Amino acid sequence: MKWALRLLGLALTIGPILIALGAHDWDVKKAVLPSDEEIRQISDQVTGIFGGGFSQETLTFGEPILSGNIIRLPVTFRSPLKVPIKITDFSVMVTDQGAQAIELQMEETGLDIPANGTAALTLVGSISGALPSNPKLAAISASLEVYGVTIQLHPSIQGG
Amino acid sequence: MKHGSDSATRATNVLGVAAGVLMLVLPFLGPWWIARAGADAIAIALSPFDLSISVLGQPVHSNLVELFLLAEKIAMIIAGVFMISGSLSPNSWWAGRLVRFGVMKPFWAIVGLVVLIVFGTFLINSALPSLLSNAVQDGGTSIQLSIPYLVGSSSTTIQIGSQATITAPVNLSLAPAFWVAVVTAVLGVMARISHRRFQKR
Repeated sequence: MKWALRLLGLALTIGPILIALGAHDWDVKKAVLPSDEEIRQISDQVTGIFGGGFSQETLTFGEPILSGNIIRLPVTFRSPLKVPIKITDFSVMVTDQGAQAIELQMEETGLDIPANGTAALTLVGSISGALPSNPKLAAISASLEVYGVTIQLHPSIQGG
Repeated sequence: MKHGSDSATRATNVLGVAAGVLMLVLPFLGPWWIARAGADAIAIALSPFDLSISVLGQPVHSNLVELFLLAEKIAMIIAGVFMISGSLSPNSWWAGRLVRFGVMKPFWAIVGLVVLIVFGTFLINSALPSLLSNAVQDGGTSIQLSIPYLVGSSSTTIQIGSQATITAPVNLSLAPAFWVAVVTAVLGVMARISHRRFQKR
């Protein structure tokens, strides 16, 4: 009986290892690691988040509305991401020749956007003087939430 | 722990029966330890009988690990049955062997799980940042990891040059099933001690 119980314990330890290895042609890597299909699905998900990337079509700026010294700029955001996201913060810095830079901040506290969806948001800032005649985008800062992970982006602006 | 008359054959090791019943239930109580990064960006639910990993909602499986954990589940159930059998008739010649087969299984399952998690966390905290930094070609990439050992909350930050920062909250917690396992292990140790008293009679 003593040996039978020891053999039972041994069989329950070694058995699964032999079965798993045998089912995968004695390939340890295949037996231990996830299947190629599972790895591909995860890669697709990661590509869905970061793939496609942000382009000039991602943001479309509308006509600015000036009310006193407050400027409002409607923006349409077309998400290139294949997963739902939440924009928690968005700001841009606009410059003009010889004029003071204007910082515009997202008015909404948070904006949920479905996968590859479109959302409208408003950027608000204060301006001292007239609207810039030849505005150039100097900086963009965005904070997104994807699967509870916060991604803060500060992309470099080329050519304004 | 004698019930009824003082007849030795009618004695029962109540602590052993209780431990045995809990050993039968334990594999079906779900995860003992849960780890989450973000809102299920990465989710791990672990027990000595089950492992569930999902990355961005996609489940990940290892055939060998799953079979090994299935065997652990079967072993715990067999040990529970043996424990109950041995405890219902503690004076039998075979009772000692049956009880000894599985009495310490819950205890070693807890020790094994805790050691595995602490060792795994140590490896992740010490080796993963440099591995990932080297894997990413961009020289400006840095990773800050301070994952708590076993339980707690922290934040992981990946800095990709000056253009992006990725921050993920990490939460590690012990599930109620872990505490049931602790009770089972304590009962098992007590049952082993009380079983010796039965054997001496």
